Amino acid sequence: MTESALWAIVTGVANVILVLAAAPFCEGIIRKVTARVQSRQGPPIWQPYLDILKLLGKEDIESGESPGLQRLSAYLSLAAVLTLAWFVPMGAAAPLTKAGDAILVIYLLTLCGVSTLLAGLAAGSTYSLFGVSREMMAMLTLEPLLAVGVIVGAVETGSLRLDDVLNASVYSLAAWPLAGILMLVVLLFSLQAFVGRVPFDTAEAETEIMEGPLIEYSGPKLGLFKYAQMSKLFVYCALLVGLFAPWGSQWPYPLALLVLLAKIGVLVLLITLVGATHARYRIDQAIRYYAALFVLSLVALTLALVGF
Amino acid sequence: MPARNVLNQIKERFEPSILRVDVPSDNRLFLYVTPGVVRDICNHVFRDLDARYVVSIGIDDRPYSGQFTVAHNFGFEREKVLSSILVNLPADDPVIDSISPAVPAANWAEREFRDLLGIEPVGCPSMKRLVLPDGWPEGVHPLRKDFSWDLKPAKFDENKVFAFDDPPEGCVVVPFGPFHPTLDEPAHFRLYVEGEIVRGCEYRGFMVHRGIEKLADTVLTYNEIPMMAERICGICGCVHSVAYAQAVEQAAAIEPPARARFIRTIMLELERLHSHLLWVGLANHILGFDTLFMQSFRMREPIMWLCERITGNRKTYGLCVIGGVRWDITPEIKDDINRILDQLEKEWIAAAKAVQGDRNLQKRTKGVGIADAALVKDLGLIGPIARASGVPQDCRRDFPYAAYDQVDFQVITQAGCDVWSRVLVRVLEVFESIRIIRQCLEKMPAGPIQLQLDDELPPGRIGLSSIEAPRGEAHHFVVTGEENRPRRWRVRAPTYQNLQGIPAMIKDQQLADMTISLGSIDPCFSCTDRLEILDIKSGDVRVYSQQEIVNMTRRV
Amino acid sequence: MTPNLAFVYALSICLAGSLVTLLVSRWKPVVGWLAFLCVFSSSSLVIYAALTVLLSGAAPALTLFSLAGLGTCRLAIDGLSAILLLLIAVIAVLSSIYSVRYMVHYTEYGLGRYYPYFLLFVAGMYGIVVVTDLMVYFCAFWQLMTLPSYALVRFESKKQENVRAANRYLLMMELSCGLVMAGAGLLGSGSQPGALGRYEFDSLAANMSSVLSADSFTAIAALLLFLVGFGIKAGMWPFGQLWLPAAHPAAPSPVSALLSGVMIKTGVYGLMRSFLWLIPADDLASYPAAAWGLVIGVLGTATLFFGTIQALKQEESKRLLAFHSIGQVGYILLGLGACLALLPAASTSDSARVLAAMALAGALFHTINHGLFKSLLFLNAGSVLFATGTQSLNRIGGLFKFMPVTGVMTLIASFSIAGVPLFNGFASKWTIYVSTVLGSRTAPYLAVLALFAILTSAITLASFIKFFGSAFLSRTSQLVKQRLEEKKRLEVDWTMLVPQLVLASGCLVFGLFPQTALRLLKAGLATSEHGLGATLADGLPVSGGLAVAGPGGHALIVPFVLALVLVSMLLLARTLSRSGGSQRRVAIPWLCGYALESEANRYTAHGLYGEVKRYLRWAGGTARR
Repeated sequence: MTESALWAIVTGVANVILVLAAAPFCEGIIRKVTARVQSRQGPPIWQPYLDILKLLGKEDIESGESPGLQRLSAYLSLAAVLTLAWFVPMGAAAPLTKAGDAILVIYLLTLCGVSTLLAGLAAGSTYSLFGVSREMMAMLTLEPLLAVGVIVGAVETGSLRLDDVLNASVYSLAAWPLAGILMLVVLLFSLQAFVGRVPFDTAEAETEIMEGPLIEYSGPKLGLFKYAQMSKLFVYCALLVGLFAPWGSQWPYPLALLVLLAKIGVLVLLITLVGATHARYRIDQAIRYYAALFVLSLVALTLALVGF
Repeated sequence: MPARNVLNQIKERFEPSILRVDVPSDNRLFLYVTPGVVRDICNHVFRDLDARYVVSIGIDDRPYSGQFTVAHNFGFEREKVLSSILVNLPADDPVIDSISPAVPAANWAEREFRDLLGIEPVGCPSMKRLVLPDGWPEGVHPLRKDFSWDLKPAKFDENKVFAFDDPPEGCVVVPFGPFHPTLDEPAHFRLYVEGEIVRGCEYRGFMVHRGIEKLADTVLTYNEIPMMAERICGICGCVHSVAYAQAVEQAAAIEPPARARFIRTIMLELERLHSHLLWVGLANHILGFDTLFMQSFRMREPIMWLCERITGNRKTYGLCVIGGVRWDITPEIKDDINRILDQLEKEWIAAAKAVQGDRNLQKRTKGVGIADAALVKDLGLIGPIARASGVPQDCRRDFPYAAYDQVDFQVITQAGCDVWSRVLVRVLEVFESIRIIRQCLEKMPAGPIQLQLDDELPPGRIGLSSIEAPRGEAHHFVVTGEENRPRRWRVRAPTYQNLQGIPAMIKDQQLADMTISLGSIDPCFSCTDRLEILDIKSGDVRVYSQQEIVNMTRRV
Repeated sequence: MTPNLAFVYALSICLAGSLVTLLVSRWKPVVGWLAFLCVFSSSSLVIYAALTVLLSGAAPALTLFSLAGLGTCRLAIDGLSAILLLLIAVIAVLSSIYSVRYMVHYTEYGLGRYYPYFLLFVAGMYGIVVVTDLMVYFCAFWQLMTLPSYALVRFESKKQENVRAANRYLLMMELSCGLVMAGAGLLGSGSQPGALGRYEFDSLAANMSSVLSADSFTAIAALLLFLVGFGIKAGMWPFGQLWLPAAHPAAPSPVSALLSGVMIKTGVYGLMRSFLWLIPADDLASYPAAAWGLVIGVLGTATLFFGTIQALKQEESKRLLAFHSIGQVGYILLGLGACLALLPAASTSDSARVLAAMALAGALFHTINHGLFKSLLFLNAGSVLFATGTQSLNRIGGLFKFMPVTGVMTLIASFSIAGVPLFNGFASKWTIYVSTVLGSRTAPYLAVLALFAILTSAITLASFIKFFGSAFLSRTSQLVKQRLEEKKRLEVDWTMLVPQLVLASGCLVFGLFPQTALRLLKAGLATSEHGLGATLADGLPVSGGLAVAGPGGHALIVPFVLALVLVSMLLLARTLSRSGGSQRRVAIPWLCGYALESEANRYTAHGLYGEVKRYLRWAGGTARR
């Protein structure tokens, strides 16, 4: 085993541990700040950890006809996010730059969604299929947005390697990085949708279809899905930071990590505040919104292609 | 003489068919007609005289007159007259022409007396069971006088399945309720959904029908009933107890003291305040906007404290008795009310501004859940639904009761016919309620709060009372009776009419809009089903003080 | 035995076999195995021939016979042909095993109308990718491919719509044939008839230099005729929509697999031949490759976009798959277009050369992959049809419990076509994305086309979530319950499962080790005789995974490492979920407490993605219910 492979494994495991440890904390912050905005005391900040522990020990009701697939989809939901963590720089260079590139990252994010879809389908309830339909419709229109971000980076640097693309490459070409700034705006506007929070939590819409794809899940499987959602939020924020604001990531290890966590914290606050001040959109309104963002991102791509 | 004018208009066409007329006051009219003309006369009253359909009541009068009676109630808003068109039916063959073909709003009420009394409405477009549970045996009618209040029918079939219609082609059936996060109470909607679009629905409710009307005419006494009436609804309980008391008072020609009428007005308006604040919160929760939900509940809390201050209870005030009220408003309480109203007004001005300017909220509510004026008329929709469709209809002004004839207020209307208009109507009505309470506090005369009633109330009289509950008109119909209890008491809650408009409001809309459309009528299934809500405390011995609870939940 | 000879034997076996199967067609249990034997032996010979060519270089063309005035019938197997031959041979064998059991359930139709045509059809496809003449013998082999497949499409001739679909198919194929011959005629008319004939591929290629430089109009017109002619065959937008979605579902499923998996690839093959191999390597300067790249790239993107959107709306299993065939051909065309667009720069810059080679390799790789997973999907759909008797996705559901093997196969195929990492569709799509995204330095519009390709890949995923989910997951439908009562067992037997297993393992192998495919393609390009295409072989990088590295750009994936990580993360997740020691309990789904579960509660394929379908109404593609 070569040294670089060893290094990749060490940093990869470090990333996985970081995600598993920090994701519930972000959720705790979101709950606490939301409560403050709503004039409530709110749960203790470590409540999400307790929630997951509690769910892991609770009864596991399998109401689908294919319990095997239900189990697989639950495992896959967390596994896909954690695999993604191997491709995102968190305080150090991305561990697996030699085994995958930016296109793979886009598809791994899709894989996270696929696990939810499979979960909903395997459960087979009417409501979960509504959720599946909505989740897929959102993915359809969302996935290209991140793809544009990556493509803009690749166009600017002429490379799809993670260590090249995830380095504020979106700004690199021109004196006035219009494309990069436009993509930053687009991805910030779609941030809420990517992490599945109000106003874009249509797929789960508790008051309409009762958590959608996850309605039939309880106990450890629900725990895994929840853990995966929290982790996805963390990893996605880290990805955005890597793509648009990696400044400080080349500093020595603990310092770079702290800077990353601070930047993720800012994004988490943003997510919280937007979530607390909006009503949920209908799926057709959400699709139109994403479509508008898609047009904007096409503009950004065009700008990047002509050298801005 | 407005009631006489109405009578004369009806007489122009139906003079020969009118058997008996009773005009107990300027604003009540009771008309006994022959069974043959009932559909025509109702059609005439509903379409030509533009009366609003209120409710139909079946009465088992066999022990007294040997007949069944059906009453169709209409409200003449312009003339400020409430009227009943009554028909006596033979005991052995209780069959009546259905008025639903002419008055679509009567569908549920007719099905209800078919279920409960076995009076057959011939020609009713839908004859499906409405009130009785699925397993209830055919031919057993619990509201008949020969059915004992505690009888359980022997042949009850637990496994009977209700026969729903088939869904349209290409639609999936989405069960909505009885246990659903959006519904705080049980009711079942069978939604026919194609993709995300609701193509139709079927309703099966009355899951918590507890037969309180039966209890009232067999077990309870006149002054126990307000307590029961209050428990019909967890939100607008006071409305029902006052409406009942007023119906009895009108039947027995009792006038409660002026101070009592002012106190009733104040409590009714406090109830409207907390109901509207609750609704704004819940509507936003349905839309996923939980911050406004929490803030609205925070603003509502002082009102609840106020109610506790006045009556000793946050809800179920035990306020009303026949001929007056139980709790007085002392000068100290008056100061508290004024203080809290000032605070609420200040906060609500800010909240109303935030709501009115919220584009995100408008996107979700404009053009959603359309109920236009024609639908309002046909289905007898009432309250904020009617007012949001530009129909200026408000019982407080149209059929003044309590002290509403002595205060000045505005009937808020909007023209959008959609959920957004209903939001605006309710948001703005909060300010009117605050105005009304302030005027009441100012104008309230000193004096007794209860009448001394020594005589037995006269039996066989009919009383009608309409109260503008937060959700619309709550209508009570009472026939006074013997043994210190009424012969018949019929409650028509606002949701009873408004719910019938839901299928039309949600048709061809997104599923996501269905919940807020349903929410926009502020459905109160317990009112509709007429049940008791019980709050069963756990056996927990730890008692938290109010302050402790507040500290645990609230960021002070 | 030379490859050419082996090939001739293979053809003869097919032709003889068709006669024999016709004679014994009444003997139902035997005729299927007999046909399989014929296909197996001929395919073994073809595979032998193809591998020999790939390993040891193209053999000299074999002249079969020569007729005065009609030119010479020559067969030449080079690397490109060999790749196509491999694909045809493998799918043909698998489809013929599958047919044995599958065809028995057609009680109303005799097998004499199936196996003879099947064998002729396979022979026609073999012939069309090796024949070197572009006029008479091209036409002959084309008809050998088209007429039997026409008969196969109208196999269920009692269904009016199938006959109509077949007629339309025949019409379009003859049109396609005519256009290609017209193109060849245009190119060949001015040339000196060589020893082998005026319309011989080599003669046309030799003539191309002068045509390109002297008479560019003729060159453009001829290439345009080829584009439309082969484009119709390949299912290119807007021509594919005219015949493909009707014809493919009409045929019996094993034939659908051949039609979609293999036959339309002969159109792709024709396009590659005419746009890359017809042009001599040193005539690049006078060949407007960039312009053709733009045209084919944009047409390819339109094809993948519209084909896939139209597929998304379908509610019948095989019709949905047929629309996806159009969509996936779009990816192949995009790869070809990107290759052409990058060619002019390739002569001067190494990086562009690498990317052009990657683009072509991506197109070829996707050709192979599509052959694998689309055939697999048609066999899956065939098994479902066999078990339930319906193609309607609205009427089936919950099959996973009763057909677990078919279910897993379908899941693998669905993930493959949807481009989920670790499956072969992702590998070839990745290759195409990389060449288009990084190629945007040379031809900026390629990045936009790549974006639409990525968007479309999400639509494909949606469509297959629907396909797999509504057929195998969701809740057991009334129809499935009924069939289960009638048959007791729904899973198909081993003769129908084995071909699916082979195809699925192919998908996994190429997904996990894409470099094997790339090696094969590199050998194919290196052994293809001449022309622009052959020059790209040395540009193609082969490494431990898929990778581009160099001044032109960097990109890489190593699926195997990714698989290791994903599996270890899956184990971690599993450990976590079992760590609390929670008890499992079985229940039925929650329906709000009052309604009893019924057929009417099943959320069907019709309802899925309603809003997206509403917004995409303009894109066409009517669904049948």
